[in-house]
Amino acid sequence: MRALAWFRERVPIDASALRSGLNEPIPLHLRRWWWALGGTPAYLFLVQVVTGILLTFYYVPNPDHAYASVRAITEEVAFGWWIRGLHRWSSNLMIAAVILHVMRVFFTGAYRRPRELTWVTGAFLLFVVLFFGFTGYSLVYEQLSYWGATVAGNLTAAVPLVGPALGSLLRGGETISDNTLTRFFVLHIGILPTLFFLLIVVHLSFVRLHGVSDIVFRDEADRRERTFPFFPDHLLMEIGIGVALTFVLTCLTLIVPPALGEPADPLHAPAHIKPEWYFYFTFRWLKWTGLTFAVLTLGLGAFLFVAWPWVDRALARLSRGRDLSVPLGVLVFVGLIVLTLVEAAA
Amino acid sequence: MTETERSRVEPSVADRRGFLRWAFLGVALVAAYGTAAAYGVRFLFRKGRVRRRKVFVCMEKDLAPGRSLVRRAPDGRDILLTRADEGVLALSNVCPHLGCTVRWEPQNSRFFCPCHAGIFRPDGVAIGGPPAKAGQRLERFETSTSGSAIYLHLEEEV
Amino acid sequence: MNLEAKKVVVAVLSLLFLGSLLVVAWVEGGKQRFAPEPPAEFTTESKACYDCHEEKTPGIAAQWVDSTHARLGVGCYECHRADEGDVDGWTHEGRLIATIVSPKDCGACHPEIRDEFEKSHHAKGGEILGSLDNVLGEIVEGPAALNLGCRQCHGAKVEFLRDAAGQILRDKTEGKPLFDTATWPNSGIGRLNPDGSRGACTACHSRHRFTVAMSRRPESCGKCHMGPDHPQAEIYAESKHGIAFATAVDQGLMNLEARPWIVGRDYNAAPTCATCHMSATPTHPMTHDPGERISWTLRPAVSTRMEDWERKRKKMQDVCRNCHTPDWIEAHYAQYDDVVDLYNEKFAKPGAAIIDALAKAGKITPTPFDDEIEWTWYYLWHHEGRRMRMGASMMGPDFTQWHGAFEVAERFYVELIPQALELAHGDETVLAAIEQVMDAPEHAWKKGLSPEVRSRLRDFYQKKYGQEIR
Repeated sequence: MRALAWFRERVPIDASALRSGLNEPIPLHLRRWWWALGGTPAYLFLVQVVTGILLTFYYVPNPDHAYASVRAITEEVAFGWWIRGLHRWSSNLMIAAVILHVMRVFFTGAYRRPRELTWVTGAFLLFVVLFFGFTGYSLVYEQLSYWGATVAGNLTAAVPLVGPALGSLLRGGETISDNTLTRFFVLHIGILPTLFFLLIVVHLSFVRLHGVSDIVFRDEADRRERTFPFFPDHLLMEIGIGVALTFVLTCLTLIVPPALGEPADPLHAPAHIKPEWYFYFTFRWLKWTGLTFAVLTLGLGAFLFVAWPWVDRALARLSRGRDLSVPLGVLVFVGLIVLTLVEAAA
Repeated sequence: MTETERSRVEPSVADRRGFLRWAFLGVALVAAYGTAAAYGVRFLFRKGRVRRRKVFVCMEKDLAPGRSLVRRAPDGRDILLTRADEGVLALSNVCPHLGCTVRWEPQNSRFFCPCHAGIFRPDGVAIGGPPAKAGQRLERFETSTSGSAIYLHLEEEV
Repeated sequence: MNLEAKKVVVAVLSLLFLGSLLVVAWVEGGKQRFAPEPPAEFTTESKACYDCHEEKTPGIAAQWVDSTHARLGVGCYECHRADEGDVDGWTHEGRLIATIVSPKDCGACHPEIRDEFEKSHHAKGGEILGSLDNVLGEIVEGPAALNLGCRQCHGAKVEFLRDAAGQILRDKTEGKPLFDTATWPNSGIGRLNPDGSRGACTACHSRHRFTVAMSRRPESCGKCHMGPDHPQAEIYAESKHGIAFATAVDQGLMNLEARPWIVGRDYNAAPTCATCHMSATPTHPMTHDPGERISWTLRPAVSTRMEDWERKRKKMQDVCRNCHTPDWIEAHYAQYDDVVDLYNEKFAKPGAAIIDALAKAGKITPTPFDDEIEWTWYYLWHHEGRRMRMGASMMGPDFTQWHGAFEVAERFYVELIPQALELAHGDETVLAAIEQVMDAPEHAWKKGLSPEVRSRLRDFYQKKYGQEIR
């Protein structure tokens, strides 16, 4: 065909090389649906980007108009409530999926050599995702948005040495102001998406280069082939997950539509300030231990989290071969759940 | 049907069945995501509702014959009020040509647009310059009275 | 799961997703989008007032912002502006304004209502100088009582403090005319304003929200139309109309803010004072002259029919027709007329004749309220007599009877007649007048009950209560 020849001459990709390059052999254990926990946040991120771009058509990042613009989207624009609902629920589900994915990776030891850098990029991706959630929620400029941002700003400023500068950088000043909302907006739609994109490219490249780590359960029979084709089998599974997720998101939006709390009132803090659920553990930890200690321990925890592959190695050496990561991980995770539940119940 | 069994069936039948399955799947996916995309596109079109309302501008006694009054409309446009033979005349001061602000020249009894020298009669009809060539006029607002209060009728998109 | 199964699963999921999207479309279609309420509009002048008064008198500013006036752009200056030559005008922050907004000012935008009001009895309320009530309040009681009592309903003649030469005294800073505090503040419905107009729209349309819901509520009328001498508010509350209203308003059925507010169409659960006396019906427009629908005047000692009473009665009956059948209405009016006639013929006219005879014979002085019998007579017609008539007019049985006719009868027989007899001091004309009254058949019972009536009473008490009576 002349059209095809025209195309091939101008886009000189070797078809067979492309095919084999893309058609990554997938380990059989990925046939299990719950092994697709990496693809889930990826798809949800796509949903976030699409719905987020649509929302940006109507959102106004100025304190005087932000809340009203969100109200207009929710109540006046055609399908606005649905787009906003998708965005809201997708952010919650994405964070939940990322956390589950981290747990899966952690408890299967998939961060170990030679995949340490995959882990590190993943850790930073988690931080970016959490930051996404924080900035995004602050943009609504409800009471909880405003006061949550105030608390976060104060927390940041409480970090020893660099705190005040960081806090000022985050807030665009000493207190929440017009600058703050603009910064959060720039972070949320510009800086963080770029960071996320770069990190995900690196992360996925590592995954692709190393291959998805394979595990064999003791009771598993020996299989004829240890891999199955990406196309069309695994792709179809990923598409299926995507469809299922969007279906679930739409149902969630229909059942629990996005709401609007009271508009931000800088003069009156509400009786109960609460961050989003994924920050409950930080909030409760802060209440139990006090500002400086909490900041220091959270910082330490974050550092250990990023550096875990090496910590794990050191632990293995110290304990002479015992796998302490799993019980330690269980302990920490249970602790985080407890903190979250206590804060939720309060 | 397993993959091995499938290869034993007639290739044309197997191909057609496989193709039909793919086609059905494709149609279902396209239908679903297509609808979602249509909603997204609809979302981008902001069809406002039109709201009609009245706003007070002045009392009749403020608008003696020969006098004119400028009042700011809620959307920021200036409205020029004059007393014409048939009643109160409320004209927008926005030139219909390209949107510049039109001035009332009492010495010449006309409206003048400084951008491209548009000229308008006291009743707002263009008689010179580009607006006249296009047969335009200054937008006229409906007014009404309640007692001796003069109200402007606005149509706003909300 | 093999590839074939995957295809089916994904296809089914797609259809489920599509299904959920159809639900989304259904919800979207069902969404009613209301245009947001337009904000308060300001003219340049009123904006200046508001910006300062938002702090100085936040209640006034906030009430106005909520009002229909604000939505239409009618602000402070539009109502309070004064013209050159206005006696009560003064320059405040660069603008000529007046404190009092009179019906003349309101009438600039609401001329028909002002005209109707001007014709009405309400507008005449302030002109009670020279009336008996005025003497009572001003002289027998005292000016302060008159000012804060009578005049707050009837309306005061608003005066300014003046110097010896008669010039209005003004304050030093802005030249604000100083009110005679005996006459202002006052929002009595018949207020006599400095600009010569009569009335105060704010008597019923309280500033600065001017919400029509307040004016339609019986409490508005009840500020003045209540009390021992004209308890219309209490009678209404006792009557079925009042009971229906109390229930309806709790159930949110009264639709008090509606424009228009036509009985039978916009609301139907109960009437308020406004419904019958002023508001629009399907066949009658709203009127600010309640007299348009009144056929009897129940105010004076002896009730008379109003001028053009048949047309006015027809108008009122047209209002009743929205909820009552013609038979019902005719019968009610027959009952009502009978009560007024009873009062007139049995007690009022005879009483008036007796007082007249006493005055002519010089047995009571020309000064009102210095003789006990003048108070007696006053109570009879001005208080109890009115209660009796008004109770009948608005179907308040207790007011018709126990607060009304019973007390009229008591006042008449136990006080008026004995006091008149005593005052007569043997004067023939007076005694003749009294005898003429008491000879009438309706008063014959005083001389003793007939034997037939007595035996009937004895039997009744014996049978029902087992009581022996004389």
